Amino acid sequence: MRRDIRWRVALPISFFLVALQPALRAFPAGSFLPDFGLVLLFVFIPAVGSRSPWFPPILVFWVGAFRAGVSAISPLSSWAGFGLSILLRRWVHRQVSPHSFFLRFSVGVISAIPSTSMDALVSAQWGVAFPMEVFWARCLGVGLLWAFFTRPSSLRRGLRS
Amino acid sequence: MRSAERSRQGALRAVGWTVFLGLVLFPSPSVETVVGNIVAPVAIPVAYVGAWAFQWLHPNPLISQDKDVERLAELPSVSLAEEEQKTGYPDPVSGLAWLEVPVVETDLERGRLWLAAGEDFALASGQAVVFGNYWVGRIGKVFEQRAEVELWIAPGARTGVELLRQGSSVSGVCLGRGQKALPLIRWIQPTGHPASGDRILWRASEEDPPALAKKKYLLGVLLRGGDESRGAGEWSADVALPLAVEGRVWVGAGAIGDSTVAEPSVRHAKCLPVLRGDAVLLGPWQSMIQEEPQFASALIWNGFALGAIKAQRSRYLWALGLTQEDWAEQGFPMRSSVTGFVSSFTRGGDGVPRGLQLGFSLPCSFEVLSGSETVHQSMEGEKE
Repeated sequence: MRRDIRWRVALPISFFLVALQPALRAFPAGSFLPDFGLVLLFVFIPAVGSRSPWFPPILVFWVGAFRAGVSAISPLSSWAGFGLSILLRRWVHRQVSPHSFFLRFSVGVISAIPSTSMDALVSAQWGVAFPMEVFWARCLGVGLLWAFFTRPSSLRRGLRS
Repeated sequence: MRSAERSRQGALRAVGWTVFLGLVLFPSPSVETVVGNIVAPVAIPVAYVGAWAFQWLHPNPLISQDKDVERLAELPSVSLAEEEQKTGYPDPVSGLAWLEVPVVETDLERGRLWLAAGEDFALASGQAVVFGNYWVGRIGKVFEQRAEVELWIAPGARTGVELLRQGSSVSGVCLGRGQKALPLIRWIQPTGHPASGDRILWRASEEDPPALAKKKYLLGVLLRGGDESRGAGEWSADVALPLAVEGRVWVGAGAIGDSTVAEPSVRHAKCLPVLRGDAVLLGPWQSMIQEEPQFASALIWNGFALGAIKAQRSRYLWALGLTQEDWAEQGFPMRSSVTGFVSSFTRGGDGVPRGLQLGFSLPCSFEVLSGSETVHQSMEGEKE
């Protein structure tokens, strides 16, 4: 039952926010916004203490599939980038204290690097520019959101899996 | 037990990520196709919702689509194939038919062209290949639907030549050295006195038809190079090989089939534009949906190529619109003998067929150029 509730919340929100992303990117400076798929995964998948081992990979699969509708990037690339980011976030999160805003921000920025790097790699393969300022702005954006919305208390409640 | 289970899961994850990373770093078209087909039923509804949201938040697009359509409609439509046929069709030779064969792949480094026909079009090893009054080379390996042309500039290729100057001529042999080094002219007749600026003409071999042997095909102009003070001077050829040989060539054949033109089949399919712009990548991306899922290579509107299809997920396509600067390496300009306008065309390669006239923006409605897998695969490895 609890699993049903979790999916009922995570999937529709991911579907609509990922679908909204192209429209938001089209605004001035929209290209600097963090990747919605990655932010949603960071919100729905706890950094530590995941009860079900299948919830994170299945959610990564769904968000990657949603992303394939709004981006030319291969779903394989999205899945690999998201997965690496989540693994890195779990590892880095265990190394530092979540009570410091700066450390939480650092965790978010560092964790966003694999996924954003995958996007940059695909851009390079297709000969499309992916400026460094866009790269870092997206990583910093994820870091800020992670630092603001995942305070120590929120890490132990809410949409835990 | 718990620890063992964790180790097993950790090992599985490690293998999974390694596979994913390998597929991202070294994309496999077949795997991408399978994955694309799996996610397409999910991706297409997301795309429609995204397009609806886009329309809702941006009711007035920044770029007027009508202007793009008007601008493209004003451009003169030119057929590269017709232009190449005008300049490339050789003079008739009695007892010999000229088979017109498009080129699907070029490897100038190795001095090879791959033709869009083979045994099915009566091509055979050793046949002469020309473009207008220029000598191109000879047919090498022949397969069922493909044939290889060995250019006369290919490394190690030997071509009998005549060095022509004001009526007098002297024979020699041209030795190809690839694209980067000038071909050498060796074994010049001892009685001759060649000079820089002599025209280098093709000389027939014993196997060529007598009627063909009377024809003069140009290879280039003679040059004197090397260090004369050390006694290392040598004769070389300033290559005269038209750029258009990358498009089509003419093959001399004594026996022909039903047709003398081996144009590859290319299909057009209409598609519905969905999203303008990518949610992750920068650049002029456009997504669209085909009526039927079939391989697509280029995005065209009213005959003008607007971009290359970069990703395909069943019926759902992603095209990258290319600007004039982007096409600079992939396209080339040609002045039309009919309209007098200079038009740009695709050179072919990376899945995009040769000879599409270039447009440089994305109008509101268009179609995709789709071809058979054979054409796609043959174009895929083309090097510019």
